[in-house]
Amino acid sequence: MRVLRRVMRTPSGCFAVGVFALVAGAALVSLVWLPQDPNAASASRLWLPPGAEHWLGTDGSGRDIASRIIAGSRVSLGVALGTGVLASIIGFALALPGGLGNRPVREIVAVSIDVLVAFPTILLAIMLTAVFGSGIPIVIVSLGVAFGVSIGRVLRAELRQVAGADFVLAARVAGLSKFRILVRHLIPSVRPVFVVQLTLSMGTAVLAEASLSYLGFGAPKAIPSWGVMLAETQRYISIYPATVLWPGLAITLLVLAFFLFGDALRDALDVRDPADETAEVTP
Amino acid sequence: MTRFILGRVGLLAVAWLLASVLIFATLRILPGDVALVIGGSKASPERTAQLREALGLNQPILTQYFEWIGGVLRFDLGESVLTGASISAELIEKAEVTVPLTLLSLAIVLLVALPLGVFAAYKRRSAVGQIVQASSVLVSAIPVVWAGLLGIIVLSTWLQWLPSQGFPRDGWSEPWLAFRALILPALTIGLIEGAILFRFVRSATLRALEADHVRTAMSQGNSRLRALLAHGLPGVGLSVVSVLGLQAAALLVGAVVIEQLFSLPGLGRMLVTDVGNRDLTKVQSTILVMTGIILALGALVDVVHRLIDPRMKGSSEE
Repeated sequence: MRVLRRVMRTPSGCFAVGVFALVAGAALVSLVWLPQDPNAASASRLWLPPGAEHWLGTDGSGRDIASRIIAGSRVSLGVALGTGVLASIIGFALALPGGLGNRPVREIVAVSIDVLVAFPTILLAIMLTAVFGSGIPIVIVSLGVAFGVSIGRVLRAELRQVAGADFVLAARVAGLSKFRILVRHLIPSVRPVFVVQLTLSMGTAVLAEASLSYLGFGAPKAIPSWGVMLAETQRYISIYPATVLWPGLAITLLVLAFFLFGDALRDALDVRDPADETAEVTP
Repeated sequence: MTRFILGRVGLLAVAWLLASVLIFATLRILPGDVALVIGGSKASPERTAQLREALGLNQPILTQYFEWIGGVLRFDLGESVLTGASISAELIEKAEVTVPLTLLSLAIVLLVALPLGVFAAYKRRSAVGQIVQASSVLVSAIPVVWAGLLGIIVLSTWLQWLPSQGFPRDGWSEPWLAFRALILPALTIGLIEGAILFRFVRSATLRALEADHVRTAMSQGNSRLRALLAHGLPGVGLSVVSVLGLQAAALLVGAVVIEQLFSLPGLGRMLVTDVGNRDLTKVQSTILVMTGIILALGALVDVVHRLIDPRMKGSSEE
């Protein structure tokens, strides 16, 4: 909580928390209420301009754009959260043995991480889609694995460093159990680096989901999502360029919130810039 | 030095083989019957059996793997199950679009990121420096598809400067037309990836400004700018080289989305189409080739980095 207050003290931190509240609020409200049915198509109201009934107008099938944007927040937020959870689990599953295990274990994990990191996220998603078909779960699994590996790589290095620190040695000399040292000393020390990496990965996940949905490998067409909306506008951009704005704006705002939150968090927790790492998270 | 290169090449071979096992395992072992996936569940049992025979699926899994990887090592990637066309020939044809696209994007990435990154670090406390820094965060949050669509609206529909879609049918026989078709795609991905490299260049330059030898140069009466340009930049260049492989890889993979967006007949678009057609053996070979290129770029960058790093000069004959 104290960290959150420090994050909120910067303008960019405030902006990020505001966008999160807005998107999360929209996602929750959309479960019980929407201005219009987001999937109700009607030939009698194609390409309506924004107005009182259709706040942002309608698309080429006569569906209400505002309702689709509000409902679409569920997919983007769901992918971000799902990827975040899976990437954290995989990250720690790699980093704990890779950073704290005995020598052969550490080296095996290090080599596996190096090979896996070189494997591009989109290619992994394409492979899994080729085998299992497209869908949001496949998107979450491929993004979670890919970002989990890069989180694992950073955490592993961090754990290796902390494990050799004097205060850990002191704790061991004082007779604390291995588990207690891990929970009370090691994990709290790597937590700042972990949360910063996590927020960056979640922002990148929203971007990657948009790309995958565009390729037809993401959310199915029946579910309103920002990525699919973006893809659907392309055929008509020369006639109705304004409809391109909304889904793209929504994605950019949410991703920007994740990135700025990560930056503010890094300053609040005093973590070094991930741009210093050679392992950038690439979409 | 020779020993370093040999070692790096050995590591490359091991990583590439591991990746091939990973790709093969994902596409073959997990999903039950590949013949059913390729033929579709509606295919007749005869057709499925025929496919299974043609794909060699009746053989033990290890034999299948070694036949595939053996073929790849002889530059024989097999044929597409659907069209019967040679995969290697098609890859080379598609590379004529993807490779120039990637190189052009890389040029844009460097043109954007290097000068702006150094500038933003040098002018860190000024308003302009802050604005450049803030824009880089904004640009890196823009979805590639959206950036491309906005580019099409502004540069193709409104200003009519550049074509919005497609690539000349006769390829590079008219170089200017082909090049024109690649400008907007390369700009789109180059600017976004450039924003990521920008962050890296900026923080490398900030570190250079704090470095002892740059401070020494300043204390000898050089201006801050001169000290940075003459003594700081070589170090910055060195760290940029170390991430260049990663950048090129990101651009190559980014081409998958970009080529779809601009209807360019390149490797990425082919991959997307093949996934739609469930041409699994072709997907498998294409992804292996792309992974190989990415790993090789990484190795190449490591070697170049080692060659140009003056700190490594004395240690050449260990």
